[in-house]
Amino acid sequence: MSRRARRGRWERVALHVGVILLVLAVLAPFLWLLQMSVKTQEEIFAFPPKLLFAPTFENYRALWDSTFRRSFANSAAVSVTSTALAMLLGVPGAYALSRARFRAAGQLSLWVLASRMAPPIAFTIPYFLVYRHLGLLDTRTGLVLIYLTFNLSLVVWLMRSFFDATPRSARASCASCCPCRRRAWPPRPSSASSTRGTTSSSRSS
Amino acid sequence: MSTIAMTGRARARAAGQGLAALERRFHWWCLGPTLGVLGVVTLLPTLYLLATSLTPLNLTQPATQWDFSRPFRNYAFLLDDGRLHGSLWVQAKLSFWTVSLQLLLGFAMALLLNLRSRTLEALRTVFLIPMVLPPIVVAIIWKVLYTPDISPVHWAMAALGWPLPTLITHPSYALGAIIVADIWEWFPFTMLMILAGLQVLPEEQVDAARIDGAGPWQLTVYVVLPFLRGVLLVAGLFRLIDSIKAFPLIFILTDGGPGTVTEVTNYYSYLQAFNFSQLGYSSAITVILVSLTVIASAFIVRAVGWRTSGE
Repeated sequence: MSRRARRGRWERVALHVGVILLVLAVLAPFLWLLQMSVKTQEEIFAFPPKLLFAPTFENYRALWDSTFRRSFANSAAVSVTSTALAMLLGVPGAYALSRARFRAAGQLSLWVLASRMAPPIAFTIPYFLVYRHLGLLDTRTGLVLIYLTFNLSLVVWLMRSFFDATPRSARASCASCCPCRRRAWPPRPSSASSTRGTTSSSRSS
Repeated sequence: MSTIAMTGRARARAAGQGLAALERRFHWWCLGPTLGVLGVVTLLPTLYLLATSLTPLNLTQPATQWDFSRPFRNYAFLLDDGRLHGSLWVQAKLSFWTVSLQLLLGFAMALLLNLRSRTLEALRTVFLIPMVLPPIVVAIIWKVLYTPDISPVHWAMAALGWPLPTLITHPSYALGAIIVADIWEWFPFTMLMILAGLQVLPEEQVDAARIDGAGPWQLTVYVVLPFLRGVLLVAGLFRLIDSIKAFPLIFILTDGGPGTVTEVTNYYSYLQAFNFSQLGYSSAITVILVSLTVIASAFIVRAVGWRTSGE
């Protein structure tokens, strides 16, 4: 007697309507921002707020003509570079941490977690002082480096728990010959890697 | 097993465990760059921060940068600083309310999304939107919603006959306003983690309990929640750590609040560093904050009991 058999058709409709209303309620702040982006300045400040209006893309056009293009290019360049670096450095390291029996592996995981606990200001002050000396203030390289602090820790932490959950036997059968080993590694973490990549880039932007 | 592999293994054994050495070297090659970069990028700045906290560094007086004459002066100040103690109390309130309500709301939403329905599975991604927005954008959205002149919320409440005061400049409601915005932004995080946990909940346990006559409330409390304990701990811990780092919302919405009502320790540290130029004192506050976070996390993990990943 599964729940689905007992649930009537009207109950399912009511559930769906309820869920759609819930989605609208939860997303309402975001939707409000969206509708503000297609309003003119006067319409935004009109009180009571206008719900019916003719949308205009003037704001987006003005944005395109401004320095937004360079900012967006900077954002894209910095987050892509930082994510790529973090993945390049983090995935092999996480694999080694997971497979090898390092005595310090536990401490290293704790250190990674602890570095995530630090508020950004813990890194802002030292980086600010050092960047002043190295001339990296106001540069994209500087940004990429500082994003590595949390991106790299995040990649190592997440990929390590993924590799821990992957069976070792996928590797053992090919252990005897090098070319086999290259084919067996990495053990199919592609979906996990893309999630980590998305998480890293969304945090960088 | 193929004869080639067997021959290979015998060959490796005959070569005197050359394979194990090869593996170890391979692992060090994998781990070396990671550790190196991680060390330079996180360990060195931490040491520098510690060193700075022992100096009265003030950017307007460059000579103070290496003045180690009275190293614990900053820490002595901390003990007497009433504003710091106030900020710790505000932080405790903020963390308590945001983490508990995010866990609650995330749990409720996860229970809802766990029902088997194609519409719900499609809507799962939509619910993630608050979490994926850049925090500054979220802060701006809520700034608009909390500004009476342009807020649909204020207009709707006034139209219904319950006019709201300006929440973010009201000493009693400013912190609550930030808590609401924070919950809206981060409940998808807890929802996702709890949903993942719910989806590996074994059906047999639920069915067995139902056959024994358990109602939905008893099912939730005695079957579902104990199973989710590990997930709730990890989600709560991550949210606690992130709530201590809360900055964009406070910066945009209240700037520390009317007076210091919404000034959390992280924000106070930022003010000391960039408003008052007291980098040394700010470093000391940050060191204390991180230490308290680590201690609180360790305490929670020990109190609730750490489960291995995947549960």
